[in-house]
Amino acid sequence: MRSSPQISEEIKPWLFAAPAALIFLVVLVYPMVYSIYLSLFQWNGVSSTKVFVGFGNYIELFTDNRVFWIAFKNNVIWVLLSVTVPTGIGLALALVLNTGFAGTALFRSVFYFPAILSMSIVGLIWSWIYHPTLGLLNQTLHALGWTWLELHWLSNPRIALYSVFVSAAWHNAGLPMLLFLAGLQTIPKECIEAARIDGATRAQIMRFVTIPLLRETTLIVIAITAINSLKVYDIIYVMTYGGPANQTQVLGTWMYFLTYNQNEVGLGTAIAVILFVMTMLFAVPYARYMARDQ
Amino acid sequence: MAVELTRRAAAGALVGGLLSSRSFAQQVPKQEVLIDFFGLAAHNWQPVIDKFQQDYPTVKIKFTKFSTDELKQALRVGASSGKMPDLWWNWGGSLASPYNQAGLSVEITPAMISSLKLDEFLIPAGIELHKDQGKLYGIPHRIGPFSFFYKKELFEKFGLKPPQSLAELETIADTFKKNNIVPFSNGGKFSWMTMRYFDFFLESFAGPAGHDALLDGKASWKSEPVTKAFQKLKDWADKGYFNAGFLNVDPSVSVTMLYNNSAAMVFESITTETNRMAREGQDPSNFGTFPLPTGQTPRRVPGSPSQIQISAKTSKDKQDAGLLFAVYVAKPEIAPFTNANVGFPSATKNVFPTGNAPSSRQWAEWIQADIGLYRLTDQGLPQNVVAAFFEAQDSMLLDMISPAEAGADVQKAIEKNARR
Amino acid sequence: MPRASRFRVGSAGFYTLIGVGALLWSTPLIVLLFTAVKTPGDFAQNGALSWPRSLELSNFSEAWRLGIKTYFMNSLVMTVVKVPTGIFICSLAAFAITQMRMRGANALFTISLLGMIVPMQMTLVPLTILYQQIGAIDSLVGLFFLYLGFGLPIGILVLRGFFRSIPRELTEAAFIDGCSWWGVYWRVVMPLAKPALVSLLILDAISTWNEFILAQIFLRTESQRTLPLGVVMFSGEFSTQYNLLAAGQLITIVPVLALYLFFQRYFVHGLAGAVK
Repeated sequence: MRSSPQISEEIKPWLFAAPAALIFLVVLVYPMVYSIYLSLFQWNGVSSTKVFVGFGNYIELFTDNRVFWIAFKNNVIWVLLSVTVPTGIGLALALVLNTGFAGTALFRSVFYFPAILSMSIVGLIWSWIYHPTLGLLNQTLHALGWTWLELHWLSNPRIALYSVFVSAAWHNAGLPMLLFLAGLQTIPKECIEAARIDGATRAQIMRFVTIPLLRETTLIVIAITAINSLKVYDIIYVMTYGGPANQTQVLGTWMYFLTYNQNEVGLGTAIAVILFVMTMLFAVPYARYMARDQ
Repeated sequence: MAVELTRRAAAGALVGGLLSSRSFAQQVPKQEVLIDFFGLAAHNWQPVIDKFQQDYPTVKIKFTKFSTDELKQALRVGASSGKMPDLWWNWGGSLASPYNQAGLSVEITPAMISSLKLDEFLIPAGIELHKDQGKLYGIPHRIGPFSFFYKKELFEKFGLKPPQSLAELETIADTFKKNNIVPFSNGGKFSWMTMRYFDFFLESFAGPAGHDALLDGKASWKSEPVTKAFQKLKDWADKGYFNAGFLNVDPSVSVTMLYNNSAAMVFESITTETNRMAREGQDPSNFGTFPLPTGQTPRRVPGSPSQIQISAKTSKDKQDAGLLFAVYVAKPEIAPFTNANVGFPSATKNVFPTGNAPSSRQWAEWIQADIGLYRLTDQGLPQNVVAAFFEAQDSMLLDMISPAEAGADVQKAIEKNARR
Repeated sequence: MPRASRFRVGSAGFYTLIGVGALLWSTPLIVLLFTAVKTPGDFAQNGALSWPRSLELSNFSEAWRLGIKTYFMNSLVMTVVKVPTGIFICSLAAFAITQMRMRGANALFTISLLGMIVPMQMTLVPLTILYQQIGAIDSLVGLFFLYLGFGLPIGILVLRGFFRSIPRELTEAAFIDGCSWWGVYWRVVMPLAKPALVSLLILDAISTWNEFILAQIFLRTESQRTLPLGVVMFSGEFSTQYNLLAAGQLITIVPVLALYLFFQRYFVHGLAGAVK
């Protein structure tokens, strides 16, 4: 083995990585490049001729596509909510569940359970709950006499996005919870012990030991959540279809509707590229952080 | 060897001859041909395919069913990758036009129309309805009118009769509203069910010629009839004629509000009777139907084409087999069976429903007599204009723009599309 | 402090609080479960949340018979084949990146993280064109390679984090004992990485089982459809039969739930590699 020439030692790692690299090239890299190319054309996706328009698609989106800016704004709102609400719930649950009381495993499973459901099922279940007259939510509010709260959760454009967000948060809190639990396990027991011996209360330990040591985990959770929430698509597609009147569109859905419902492949891929660039803003620092040397 | 060949040829000629007398001289494949066929889940194609395969054992049809929006998408994805199924069911207008204009669907030339005898056994208006810029790109088997179904029990309870005018229809709606029954069950989630009401108002206010001119882009949408139609739609929504929160309600559940008497009427495809009510355990005779009271002559209702298209990109033997099937289902002796499974009214002359389908029978007669058809907006306008229309319509209902602005938005989209 | 102690960890107040929280959290699933065992009449009359009048288990067999069976089998085969294959490929790459002094290791890893960023829709049209040319449309085998590709980034991320924590000395010792690289990978690193492999197995199985967008575009005919796609089709076809729908959905949930419950003790520990 060690007698084989140096060049072979250089190549060997790549033999191990070859299957991954190859699949990666075909399934991810090539389509990305091709999409960037497509975003420079006006093409209805069907005809055999594509018209080169340069940055025309981008200019049209920025200046002459009202829904693009609605989608953009909604996406920003969605990301801001996503990095706080489900992440916060996940952190709170992890802190409680990490205390090791009897039944931890059961409660952990209960709170994680929604995360294993597919988004289409989550969307379907919550659509029933939100139904304006037959839904569980409005029927409960009605029974309580809080009729002023019986809203049209998914068809009122002012609240529809937030209604969808609640169902997404229910689904999305599971992963941060697990990641925080994993992060808590990396905290050396000695640190906690030392603080306890020094007479720190449980709350003080939490505030001055646990939370600071979770900083790294938190950054990673926020990066992952931000990246995933920028790409939000299926739950909005299932629950509101971007409506009413496109008021709940996000970039992911609007890209889909432009490409597949309006035959505007160029505009659609241009949104994909824009979304990609936005994601890079979060991803590059994260990737550099992850790729750092020990 | 030579003898064997001759014998086979003779047998082939004999079989071919026998079949050709039944199938208008079409090629019957001698070797097994497998074709892919895409259609809607709501249409019950499998029994028709089984029957066809019994008559033509060399053709095997693999049917894949989709929901409405999934079929549209499957066809678009197929087209953008240059690969359509061998055979697909389609609506018409701008939902079929991109495939026709891109040369993906086989044109049924006038020569084929006469050699296949389509002009003899299909209703002429049915052929016209399916044409795209004067050419036919599929074999029609059904004419899909839309109109109101109503729950007879509720009409009787309040002593109401089918309306003859828009004003009468509004009086009926007021009666139901006062009695806490939703007048019209509307599933507005994808915007096209709400659009049916707008189209109805537009036909009423612009008249048949004016309505067609608007869809053809020959008249401006910044005009009084359009504004009036949007305004009327807004009035109906504001008066509570539609179910609460209808903008997010799935259209597939709208007919069920009639089942438990929580709504009185629904604006639906006539196939709802055979494809939904009967299959969901409802007695179709509990429901009545009436043509739209547009107050116009000719009296028209929306009609959707319903055709089988054949891929221009597939092999010759698959095209032949596909054409064989598409024509087979519309032939006078098969059409009653086809339409019984896929829905009425038939595009084939003198085919009427049997069994418990009073509304379908009624509509088959009306269509073959004097009721005309207009195009639905989402098939009449190009697809990217349709998107602008949906947005304008729903924005107006949400009070974000005025009825006049809604018309102006649609006009702007039409002009932008024309510049492309 | 005394007020807080009413809810001290382990106290009755604490259990009440977290119990009520868990119950509220589970309401949507309780609704699903109740709907799935009700008769249509019971559902229509008493709504979703009322206690079921009777246990209508036939809803499950009916949903199974009406199409869920085919979709279930396709998903099962896909998951069983894809997940181990994907993990194997990821572990090879992660091993090369962390243990083999690989030239370009950081580049490969950074590029693979890029895969987590790409919005999936960005790849759809090019991939459809490519798949058409090689005739891989509408086949589970074709979809299998796409799933491999989109599963790579998270897999490499998790395994790399874990492999990095394995001391180099350990692998170098094995090396001196005459192991080949393959031997080090297979006999030293992989057994040590069991917790990470198990967490990845669960994560990957769940996402493969639930994947919708790619299946929606790349599968067409009924015989090829996977569960998430099939359930949506099923919803379109039986849109008003909520009890059948709910039963169909419950059937799709059961396998991943079982998997998670079975392996959950490994789960949290294994994920530690992803967050440090």
